[in-house]
Amino acid sequence: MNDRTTTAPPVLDVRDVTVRFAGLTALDAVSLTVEPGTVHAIIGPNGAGKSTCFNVLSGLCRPAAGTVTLGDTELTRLAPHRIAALGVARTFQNIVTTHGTVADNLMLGRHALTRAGFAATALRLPGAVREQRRHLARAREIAELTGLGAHFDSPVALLSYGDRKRVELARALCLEPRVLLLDEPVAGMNAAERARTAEVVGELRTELGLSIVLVEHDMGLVMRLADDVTVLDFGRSIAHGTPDEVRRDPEVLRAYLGTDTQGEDAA
Amino acid sequence: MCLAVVLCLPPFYLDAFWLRIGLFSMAAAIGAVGLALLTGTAGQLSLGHAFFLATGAYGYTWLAGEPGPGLPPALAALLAVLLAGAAGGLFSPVAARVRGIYLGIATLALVFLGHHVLLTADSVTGGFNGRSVPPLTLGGFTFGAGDPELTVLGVPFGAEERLWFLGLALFAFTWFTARGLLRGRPGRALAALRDSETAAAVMGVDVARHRSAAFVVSSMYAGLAGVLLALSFRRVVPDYFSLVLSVDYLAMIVIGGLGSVAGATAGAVFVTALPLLMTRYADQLPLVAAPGSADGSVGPTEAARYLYGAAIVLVLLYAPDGLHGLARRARDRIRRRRPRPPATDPALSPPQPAATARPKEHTP
Repeated sequence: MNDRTTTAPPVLDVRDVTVRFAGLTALDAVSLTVEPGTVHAIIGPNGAGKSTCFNVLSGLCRPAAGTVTLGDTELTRLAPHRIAALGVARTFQNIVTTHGTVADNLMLGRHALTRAGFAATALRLPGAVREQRRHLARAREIAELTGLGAHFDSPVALLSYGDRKRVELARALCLEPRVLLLDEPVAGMNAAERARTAEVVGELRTELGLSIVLVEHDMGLVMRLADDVTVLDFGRSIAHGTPDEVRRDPEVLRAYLGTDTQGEDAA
Repeated sequence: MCLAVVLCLPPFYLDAFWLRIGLFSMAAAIGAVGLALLTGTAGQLSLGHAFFLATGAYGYTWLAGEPGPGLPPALAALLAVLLAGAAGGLFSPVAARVRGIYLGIATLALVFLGHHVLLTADSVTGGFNGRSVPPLTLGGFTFGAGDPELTVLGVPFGAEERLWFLGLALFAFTWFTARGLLRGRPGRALAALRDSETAAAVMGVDVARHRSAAFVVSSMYAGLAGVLLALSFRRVVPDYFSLVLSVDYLAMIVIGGLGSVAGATAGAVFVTALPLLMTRYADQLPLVAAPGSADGSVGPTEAARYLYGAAIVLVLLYAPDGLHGLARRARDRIRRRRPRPPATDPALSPPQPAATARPKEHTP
């Protein structure tokens, strides 16, 4: 159904991106490169610019300077829905689901991959009906993959916090993304839910070969999943490397984990 | 299916008064479905619905009549619907930029603008006195009195009887298409826009395009409702298409439950039929004066307004999801109260001993 996932995702390259909000520099010449099929974590204290970085990547926020490219395509000047159509999907830090059932939310994720317009849908032309049925089947598969199979027809409002968080993940996957941006996917979850989500994210990378950009405060999860880590502090990129390198970086320990090594345990 | 058959019966049993109530209700329901799509589903507040209804009604009257191009009425009806859609499309750049209550105010301007044009463009609209509406003909069959004379099962089919079936067909079309839209890709995109524009955009929904499309589609339903209203009234006058009408439509979708086709229909019937019924039975109702009496008491129309004002307050307080939500909850409750069928799956049998053991606890 979709040939996107069979080819390796293109490189996502962020070059010298600067974002200013009325005098506040939220991102200051940040650069990072997400290699195909890797998990790239962005960490940093609250207000470091992690979510702003995601907003630039998904087109919600236009940088004052710098470029973002996916393969040969520059994303910086594209509207969010065009970026989504290129296969960049994201989740939000605070759950943003729409009313209706899990199925409705997942089918929203199929929006960019489907074509049925107002007239065809209103008149229930065979093409539109067939398309809907086919994509509903795929949405159900994705629900099973993310452990939401039993809730597929339940209203989202009735689900637990962890499940709603998973609905967002599943909805992003429904875009059949090549690059997946996860904004704190396990925030507020209990240990079992965290483990389950970590497992799913791990599977996504190994089985679907997605590039994943991860913003997360849970250092355990970051250390376990990430191939690369970029550390932001006050909008500046202060360190970059493998989880082990970053963990030992004195700058990072001072800025993020606290002034002494005890902070590392606390995190 | 059963309901469709029942809806075909009234012309054989009821007199013109009831048929007219039904006809107005069906026209209102078509318009209300359009507004439900725009305001309930897509979350764009519109006070300008009366303008699009007027576009449909006057569009048909002018296109099919004299003075006017005098087109075949069926074609004129179709063009009037498209004209209303085009009017919605022309307004949609505003809708794409303005949100919430500000959009409401911007659409308010449309109503005043429209009303002014209806009053002053005499050659097209007939000015203050309006103009009479040419009856719809379809392949030699007129949806009006006579031509050809028609008697079905001993019931003479006059204008009301014929228009009833026309209204029913148009309403069925509205029901079918609107429900299809809401359950399909565009409906999900519109609901996503209402709940969060950023999330919708990130999911690949073209925000500006869908916001304007919602306006166009909603205006087309309004135009269709306008055509049917014009045919039922047989005369269009500017004062009908005032701000009050827009507010009535908002009342319909709020009472019915935002964003549902069935709810909008129920709300439309309630808001349309209530004043007409109260006028008819004014002499039998306490506290309501007969129409036309000028002794300062409450007339039936005012009483109907008080009633549905009260209905809106009650709905907002106790059933924010409207009649539609009330019906759904009632259905759920009945379903829950119904005894469950006995478990046939052997895996489910273990809890049974515990259930049978429970009565013993009552014995001391």
